[in-house]
Amino acid sequence: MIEEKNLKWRFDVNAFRLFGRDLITDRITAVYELVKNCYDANATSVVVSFENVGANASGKPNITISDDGHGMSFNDVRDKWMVVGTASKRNKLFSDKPFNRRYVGEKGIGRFAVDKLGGKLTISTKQKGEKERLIVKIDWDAYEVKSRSTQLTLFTDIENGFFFEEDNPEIHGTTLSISSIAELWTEPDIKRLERELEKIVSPFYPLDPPFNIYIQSNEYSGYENRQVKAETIKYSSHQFSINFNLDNNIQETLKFDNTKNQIIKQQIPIQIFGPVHLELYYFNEAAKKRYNSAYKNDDYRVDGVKIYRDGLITTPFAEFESERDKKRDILGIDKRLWSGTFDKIGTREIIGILDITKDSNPQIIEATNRQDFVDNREYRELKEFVISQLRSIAELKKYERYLIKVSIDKNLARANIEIKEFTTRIETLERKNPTLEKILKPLREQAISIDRSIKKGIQQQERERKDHIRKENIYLSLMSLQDYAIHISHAVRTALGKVKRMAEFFKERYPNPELDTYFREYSVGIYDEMTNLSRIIDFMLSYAGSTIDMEDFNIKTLLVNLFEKSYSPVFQAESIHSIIEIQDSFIIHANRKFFEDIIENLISNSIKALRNENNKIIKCAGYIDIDKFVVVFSDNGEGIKKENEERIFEMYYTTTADLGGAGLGLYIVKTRVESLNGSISLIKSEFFPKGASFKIVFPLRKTSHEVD
Amino acid sequence: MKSIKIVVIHDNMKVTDPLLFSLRERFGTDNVILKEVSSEGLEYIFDNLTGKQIVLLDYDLGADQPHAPEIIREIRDRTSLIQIIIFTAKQFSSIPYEYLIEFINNETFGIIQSTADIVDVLSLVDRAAHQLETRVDCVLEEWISKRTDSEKRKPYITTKAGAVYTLSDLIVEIRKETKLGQQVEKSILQLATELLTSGKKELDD
Repeated sequence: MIEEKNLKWRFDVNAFRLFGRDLITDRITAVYELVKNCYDANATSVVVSFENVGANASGKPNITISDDGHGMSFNDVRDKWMVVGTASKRNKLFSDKPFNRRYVGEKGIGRFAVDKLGGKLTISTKQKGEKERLIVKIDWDAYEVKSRSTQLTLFTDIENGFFFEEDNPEIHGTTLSISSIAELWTEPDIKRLERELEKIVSPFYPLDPPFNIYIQSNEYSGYENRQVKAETIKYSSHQFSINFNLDNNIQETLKFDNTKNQIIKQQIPIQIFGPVHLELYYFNEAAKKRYNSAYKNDDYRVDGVKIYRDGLITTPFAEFESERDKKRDILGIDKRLWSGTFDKIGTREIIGILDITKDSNPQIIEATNRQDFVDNREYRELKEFVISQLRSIAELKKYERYLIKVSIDKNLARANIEIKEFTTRIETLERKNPTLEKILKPLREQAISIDRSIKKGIQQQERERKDHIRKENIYLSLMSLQDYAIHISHAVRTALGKVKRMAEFFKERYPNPELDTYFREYSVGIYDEMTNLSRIIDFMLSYAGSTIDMEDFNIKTLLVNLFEKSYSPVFQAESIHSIIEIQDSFIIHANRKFFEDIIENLISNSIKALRNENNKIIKCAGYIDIDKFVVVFSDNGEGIKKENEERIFEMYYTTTADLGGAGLGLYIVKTRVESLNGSISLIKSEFFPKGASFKIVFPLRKTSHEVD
Repeated sequence: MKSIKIVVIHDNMKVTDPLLFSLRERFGTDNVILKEVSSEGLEYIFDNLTGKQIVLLDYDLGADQPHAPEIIREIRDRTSLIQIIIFTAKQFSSIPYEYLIEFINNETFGIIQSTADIVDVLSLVDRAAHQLETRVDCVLEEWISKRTDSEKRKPYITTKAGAVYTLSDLIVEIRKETKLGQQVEKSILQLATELLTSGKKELDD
């Protein structure tokens, strides 16, 4: 005989609302959370079944989530299921053998996800060996009524009916049957669910015993008993597998090799965030085209890097976002400054699967808001690690673009030669057989005309390339200007703020003999700050007249002027001792603005490196070495870490993102130096063990001539 | 009443700055603390958690030092009872939206440009001070902090679930704005309203 009794929940009504309604933001996440609970229960198979949930359904709508896990005892239901944030999951790290699964439903909130799906729930659960099955009936609407009441109660008194039913002792598992379904589930909704469920398990971290997910629907075809399986990633142009070796303290990382023009693997020590395994699939333009034609532009899969812990997805927690641009990009791949410019790799060009574990990467912690990870040093460095892999791929992308350009050039040049050969042969033929002239003449004329068109084409392409380079130069110059403007405006505002406060002091308190020392100090302060401000503004205005044309200028005068006039207010404001030693004076024909850019960016770089230094020095030395002009630029700041040395000239590489560093300064320096046919390298610091020194070498061409 | 400490965290301000002069005038010389290194500022704040504090916080605070968003996050992890005012030369439009949202959600009291008039800064600080003196949670915290140690350790309330809380426990619940902390505040406000409206008992403060 079935006897029905009552069971009370043990949590705050407000907690119920918070967990159920606010934390789980959408239906797909709700199902996802429930599937995660099945994983924790050591299930090998979960069936998510939808009945009559569509618009045209006639029967009663129902969603069932059924697993073959270990099931729950009455005590489990009473002491765990009905209590929020049960600690039991945290006391034990692993589930029972042979599963040894890391618990993933850490917050114990999955059960509240049910509320998002429907108003009524029946739990039917049974443990192996038990003769009876426990059935609990829950009416969530009653809680809703309760939570709306103004009565001050900390804990609910709502009662839930439960009873036992006889069953086969061998059977085990839990079935959640949800009715009073809140919203319709269309076929695309269920497809979306399938796509999200596909991502739950890492395709590279085999689960043994398995964890299989099935979707059923009595309305939509193809969902009779469909297994959710991560599709193998097809059509990518490049695949990279980054591994580690714990015993030898080795972490692999990608690097673009400029000599071999390909991506190679480098070994670095395991980083502070712990060892990681990363599979990256890159889709170049051709691959993207193949992909889009195969999937009919449904490119949801190419969506950046996802992080899996112990084989299970972490964040973003499968919360569905249909608009691409609103998708959370937790690693900040697309958020990098100057996004979308030049050759950068974005989330729509890669699929990445990053495997971490709780044991080896304990400092990568999911944030409580479930939207991100806790922002600590380890996580920041992990992000940087991923982005640095993408930077290497970006180099490859750049190289591939270059190859395409070269091959087009070659083809055009070959066509040109072939046409010439053709014309010559016709001419020879004409000479030898004057009778053929009538037939051959139109052919020859046509060939000449084709030759002209090809030449025009080559010229046109050359013009466009130059135009592109010019545009890129202007763009980079603008960026450095913008960087500079941010810097200057901050300096101006800080100075203005100080002046204003001191002036206000006068306005409000003068005269007052007791404050005379303050009046004196502030008047000097105001004067000094105003002098500084006026210099900063003069310098800023000097930018207004600059162009990017070539001109003759004396390099010694330019460098000395930059240091002793233009930058002296900056040096003064930052308490930097500057040294400028240029031995030889001579005139060169070059782009003056480029030279200024080089120095400006090096100085701004040094200022950042000197922030924590008490005795700040910036030194610039220049001399002629046979047929080269050499500039050595040094500071005694924090220097450049060994592991960063190779990357500092790369675009978007920055160690000072927090200071507004966009990773452009040294890139601009390098491109500017190269556009002047020079080279730049990092050499042993003049202020060793502190600081950094850059050596810049410009070849002296015949056009430049020495003056006294 | 315990005095309010004004903790100024700013990496580019002299001790002689007129703003500090005016703050000292208003809140007492010993109660205005300037910290140029933000981690030291944070340390000071945490060492003085039992007192009332208003933090005047610059935005960018130097390499390897926590900046405003991090500092606010760390403070809010420990307590909701400190008032924070951001005081910066940085253009508001150059502060990332995520941080602005975080500032609002982490109950930053105000944000003001460093080019503002001293009187405007002072009036913002005054409003923050007024709130510190009148907010139920702050008053409660102050009342609890005045109890003796043995009083603080005694069981004070028991919830329906059977959990027992001492005054020391309660102070943590209030600082962290837990459900229980909020519940206690709510009950006290209700009691106060009841006392006022019933008129049966005169309030002596």
